[in-house]
Amino acid sequence: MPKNEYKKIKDRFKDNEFIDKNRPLTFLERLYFVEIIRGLAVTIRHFLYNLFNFSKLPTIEYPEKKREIPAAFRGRHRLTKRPDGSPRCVACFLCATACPANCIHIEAGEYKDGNPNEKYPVQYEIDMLRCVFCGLCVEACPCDAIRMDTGEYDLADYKREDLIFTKEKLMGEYPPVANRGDAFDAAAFNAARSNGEKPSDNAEAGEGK
Amino acid sequence: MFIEQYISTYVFKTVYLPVMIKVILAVAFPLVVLSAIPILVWMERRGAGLIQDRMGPNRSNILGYNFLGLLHPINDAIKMVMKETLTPARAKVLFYYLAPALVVIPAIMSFAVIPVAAPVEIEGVKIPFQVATIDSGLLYIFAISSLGVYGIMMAGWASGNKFSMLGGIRSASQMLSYEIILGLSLVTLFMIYSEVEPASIVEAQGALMFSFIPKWGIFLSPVAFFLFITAAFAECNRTPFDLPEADSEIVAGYHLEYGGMKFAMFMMAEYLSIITMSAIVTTMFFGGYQVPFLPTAALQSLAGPFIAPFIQIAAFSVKTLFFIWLYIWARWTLPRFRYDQVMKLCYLRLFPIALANIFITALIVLMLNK
Repeated sequence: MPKNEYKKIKDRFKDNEFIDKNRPLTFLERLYFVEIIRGLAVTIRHFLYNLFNFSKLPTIEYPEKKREIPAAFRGRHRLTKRPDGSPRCVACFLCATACPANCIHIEAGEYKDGNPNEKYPVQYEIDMLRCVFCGLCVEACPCDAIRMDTGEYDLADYKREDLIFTKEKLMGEYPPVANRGDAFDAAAFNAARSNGEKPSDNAEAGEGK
Repeated sequence: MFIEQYISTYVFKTVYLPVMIKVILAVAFPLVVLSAIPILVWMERRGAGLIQDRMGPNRSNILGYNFLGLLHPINDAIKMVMKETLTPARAKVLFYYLAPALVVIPAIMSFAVIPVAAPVEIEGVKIPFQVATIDSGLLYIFAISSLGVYGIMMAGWASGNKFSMLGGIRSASQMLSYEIILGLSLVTLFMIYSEVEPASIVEAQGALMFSFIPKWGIFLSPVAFFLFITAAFAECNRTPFDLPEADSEIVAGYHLEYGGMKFAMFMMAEYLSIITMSAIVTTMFFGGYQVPFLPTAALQSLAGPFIAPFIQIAAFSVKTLFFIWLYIWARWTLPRFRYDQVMKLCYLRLFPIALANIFITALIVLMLNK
């Protein structure tokens, strides 16, 4: 860019801060050599700092250590239980309807023993290969029966069949999440959101941290 | 004592022993230089990690000890050797297999004339620490190292791949162009020291000028040093001049179609030429094996003829390692040049500077000799 033209543009921006990308290079910069040495100084500064502060590197050595996940993190699903151990799910199909990936497969059944809940899922399968972890099923559920608060996200396996999670697997134990952050209180949040509309017998539902 | 008599004979002392020493050196030099390659790979990968605020490779271990990541190059080597040998369908088979060897051999050969310590005399037997003392000295290095271009061109052409071809062509023109700068920058030193034999040049660099600065090439001809180091980067196909293998443009250039150990040989050649170039920079501009302020004669009388060579080898290694580190350091600092910029830099900037440098130095040398 010619110098006078450059000056015109600079005058126009006089009052505002702007990043000066069109500034003509100074002689030292055009020599390139000084700038190389400045660049080398930057990299060696990083090198020496990291060499003597190796433990301060931001790297998390993954399989051994895991990143602290926020409390609202959407991990793999689980089906919550009633105090007697039966699933909270009433097989209303709202989650399967809400699911954009069509990965929830439910087969409904009826309680024959006069249970006031009337319906229960005979089969409840989530195809983890299809799931996009959007959380719409959790939002759709009227009974707080499905949650994504296990904190598990590394679901790799050797066989496709093993990644279709059955009802038993979804209701089973999940390892306690040791690295969960406590910046966000999921229980308080859920309580405020549900506004007392949900069933109150959540003694077992795995509230809190 | 028959054995004592045999040992002291003229033939044994002047023919057998020197030949034996040379053979030992000729075996030891390539071995040491080749075994330095894994360490360079380690330096590069670990250094890159630290420069970029990463940890670098630290996974491979023996019983839980990762030895700072030093096992990774060994793992790499095992992997490379075990790989299947593939020949591309369009390859020209003979040249395809010949090319990796043609790249590696000159890279090892050119180290032969570099002295790593001053010769010592023990009981009348002179032990040189230089495989070959050739009068043409550095001219030999230039002759041999330019042979490496053939290997790269051959690899690019014989692979039968357009990207390889482009890489080979780029490499050929770049290396030929920068060889001019490489040679011209050293001409000033040849004039100043009136020598082309590396060992003599290093000896001349041991003295002091104005009684406090060593007579190193960098102090006598700083312009030549900057020219040489720039050309040396281009000659080794290293960043910022790594156009022959520019991954983002031509995938991997000339070694695109090579896999397994054949690819490893190209990598070895690259690291070997880095070692050689660093050794030449050390020898020509930084006093070679000379310990600063301690010329060979003083060191030998101080430490004795047995220990002095080891001190000098250590000094040489430290200096060379610094320049090897400079290669790695610059690689993670500078972005790649564009191809026309590389050529412009060579012919329009460096070439005139090199010529002017020779001219001015020649005038000074001529005036002083009058």
